[in-house]
Amino acid sequence: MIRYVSKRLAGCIAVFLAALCLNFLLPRLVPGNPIQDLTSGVGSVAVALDPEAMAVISRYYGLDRPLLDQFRSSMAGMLRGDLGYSIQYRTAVSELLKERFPWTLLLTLSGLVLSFMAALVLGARGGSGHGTQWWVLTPAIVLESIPPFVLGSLLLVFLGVHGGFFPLGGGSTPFSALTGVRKLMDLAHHAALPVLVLAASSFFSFYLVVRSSTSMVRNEPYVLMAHLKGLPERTIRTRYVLRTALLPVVTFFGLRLANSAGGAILVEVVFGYPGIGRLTYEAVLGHDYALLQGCFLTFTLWVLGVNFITDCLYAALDPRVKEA
Amino acid sequence: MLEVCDLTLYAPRRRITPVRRVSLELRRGDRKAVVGESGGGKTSLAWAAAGYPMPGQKALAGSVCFDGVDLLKLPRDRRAELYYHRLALVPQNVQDTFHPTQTLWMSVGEVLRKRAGRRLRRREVLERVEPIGAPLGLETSHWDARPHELSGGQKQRMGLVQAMVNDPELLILDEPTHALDELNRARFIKSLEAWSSERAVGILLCTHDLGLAAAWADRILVLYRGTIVEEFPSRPMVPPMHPYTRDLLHCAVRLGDIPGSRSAVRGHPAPVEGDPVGCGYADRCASALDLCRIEAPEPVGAGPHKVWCHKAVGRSGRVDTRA
Amino acid sequence: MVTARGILQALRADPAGRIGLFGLVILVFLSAGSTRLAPHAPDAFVGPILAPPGRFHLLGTNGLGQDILSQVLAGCRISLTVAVTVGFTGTALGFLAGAAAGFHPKRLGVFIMRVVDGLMAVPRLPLIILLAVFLRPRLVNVIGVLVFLSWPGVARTIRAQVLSVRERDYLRFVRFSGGGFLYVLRYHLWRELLPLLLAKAAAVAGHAVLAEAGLSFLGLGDPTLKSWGTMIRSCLDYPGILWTPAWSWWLLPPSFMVSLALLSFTLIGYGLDGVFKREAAG
Repeated sequence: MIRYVSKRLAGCIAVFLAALCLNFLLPRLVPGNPIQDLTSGVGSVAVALDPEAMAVISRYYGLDRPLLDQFRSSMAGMLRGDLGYSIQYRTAVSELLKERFPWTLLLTLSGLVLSFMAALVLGARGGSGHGTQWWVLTPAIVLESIPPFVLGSLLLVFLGVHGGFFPLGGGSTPFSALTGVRKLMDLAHHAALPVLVLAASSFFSFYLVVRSSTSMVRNEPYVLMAHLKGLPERTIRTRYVLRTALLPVVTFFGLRLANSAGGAILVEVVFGYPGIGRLTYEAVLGHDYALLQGCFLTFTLWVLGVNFITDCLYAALDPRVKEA
Repeated sequence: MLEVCDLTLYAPRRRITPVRRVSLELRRGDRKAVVGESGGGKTSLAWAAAGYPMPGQKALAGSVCFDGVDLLKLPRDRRAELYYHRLALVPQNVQDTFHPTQTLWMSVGEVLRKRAGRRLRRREVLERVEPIGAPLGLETSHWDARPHELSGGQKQRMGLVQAMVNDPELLILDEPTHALDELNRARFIKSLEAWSSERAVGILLCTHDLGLAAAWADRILVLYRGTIVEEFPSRPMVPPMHPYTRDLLHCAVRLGDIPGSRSAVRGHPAPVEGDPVGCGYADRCASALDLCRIEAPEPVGAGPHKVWCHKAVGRSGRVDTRA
Repeated sequence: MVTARGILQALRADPAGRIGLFGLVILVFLSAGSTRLAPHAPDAFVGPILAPPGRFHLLGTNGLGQDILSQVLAGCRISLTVAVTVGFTGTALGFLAGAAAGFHPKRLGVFIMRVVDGLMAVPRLPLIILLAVFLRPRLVNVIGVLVFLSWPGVARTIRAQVLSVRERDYLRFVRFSGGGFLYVLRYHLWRELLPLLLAKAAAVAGHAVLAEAGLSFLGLGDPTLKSWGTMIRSCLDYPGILWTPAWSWWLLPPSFMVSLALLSFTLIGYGLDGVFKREAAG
């Protein structure tokens, strides 16, 4: 097991380093002068700098040093946790990321767990040979086809504006000093619609995976043997069918969680939710390259981390994998 | 103890009748073997005799009575109580029937739990399985392993131990030695003999290996295309009368044979479709009469030897062993 | 029956495939005839702002007085262009890469798969955004980025198939008798894998539509083109729009269209998947 984990870890670190390099190189590869980008267009005033001013700014940002130097200092900074400075927010990028990340985590995890639970219940029943559940399949596939930002907007309109059931945005009610349970309820109230959107857009795939996995496992010889051994129905359903059918589902859950960044961005923008997704969007709008890179790095780390954990979890659950 | 009466099985999807009008009886202490080619219906019979027709098959007629209770009509949970407790079926593919991520001792422990009424610890499970497994060449490391770490032969032996561990009164074995080499086969027979001689257990063994059946069983039933064509004792060994049984004997290869001297039985046994007329072996039988194709034979023979064949009846109406 | 007609027939027989094909046909029709059917140019300011659907403007007008129907049709053309281009190119590249990797699994294959793994390990939308920010916002660039991100997925699947097909006896014989990579590709692999390729193409096309809409929604698409995503964005940006009845004819048509496009491609993909599995089974 240890060997498996360390092999995986080495792979992850390799990819991460590659992503770091990409992150470093990308803005420097784009044609044009970054200083011009940074300083021209402050507010609505076009600023033209004379060469002396540009040289000073260059030196300040260290952009006149050789590339390798810049790379080394950038890496060193990253290892220390210094990801640069956000122009828009006038705070360190790492601070912003730390503050916003839990919100996104709340959203994506809740959304995925919700759709996972629903898919588990409905998919297991669907795979148990009770016939195709059209009443589940049809709305599910339609919901998954509606892009998350569209679904979010529509829900916002129907339930938020006209229904008034849910707030129109934000993570919590501003300027309120709620505590304890009231605060939790407020948070949940604000998170409800985004979570619903995220859950709806991944439900169908989950459902399919659970259903096909369950129906495949049901016909395996060891399940039949469990019947022949006279084991109680509940044991067969949990220990034999569910436990073995869940293995591919776990992989799928991990995969979806890792790739949840895209959905998070779109949903957070629609609902004005204060997470990393919206932060990325604002960084894009404001040409805040340092922040953008920081967000991108977070996403990469997220994907790698989730994939790594999923692999290890799967290896722990299914001893057959380690041999491969 | 076990009475199969006139059992007919039908598989609606494939529209075949794997077992037709089979009756057999098994008492405690009996050792019977059902012999026949692959596809002849042995497995279907084995499962149905345990009261659990194979998936896709159902009992059209007849009954399977265990101590007077018809297993085919018993509700699921009552049957489940009996399984691997008072009667046990070891299927042909027992190597694939263990839970893929559990250790073997855990899988066998599930069966022991029924008897003990509670979950048993590893030590307790091993205490019960090792004595039975040791003569079969099984060690503690095998019980601590998971299915993918063991060979087919090992798992087949462990499947047998799993069936024996709860001291059932009835044991049905379907091709229990097909994955075992000669040495392990011999061990298997010895262990089975030793184990069964200490208990009053009825064993039904389904195999295509006539030699195995002859070596171990007291009575042999020959199954051809879902019907029993002959039943005879094997100790002492009497010469079989049914053409099929005779042909089977001729086919059996032994050490010292000249290559090419063995003949093969013509054709293949296809599962029976619909309701055929006449003797099932008629189209392969070297000595078939016209009558054989029209009328299905009734059992003839007094005493322990019964044959379902028209030719076995001589002019005097009695069983003619020279036919 | 691995011919185009055979696949089409099989697809029509499948209920999911049938609906998907129907949707696709509608989209193709609308986009092909978009210049003809559209009463006005999508950018032209032709009417009062936020006018409800009526005689002159079948779907009403938006906040700038532009005809929504024309914009929806233009968006149809854009989305379909993106879908077809990305679908075709991405799948073609993925097929070549995957086949090459499967055919020479030792060195070339390992190299290609490392690249594939690396690209797939990076989260999709953030990478798209990153690239879209650093390149100029033109449709060509968007298509390029999407192609760049779609070929790894196809390559991975194709490689797995090629690896399993490769060991089949007749291919062994072909290689033994000297058939080169391109030869095998053209005459054997192509036939075998056509349904799978089409299924992948449908999936890629669907994702491309979604990605393009998402990018336009975030404002990173081509600002000169009226894509569906852009329409939704400008609708939501208009102050107070949700409290007027205008959102219904401004927001709903592009939402419906983009969902229809995605649904059609997804269903076609599922239908083709079913065809492939049936072919593979026998």
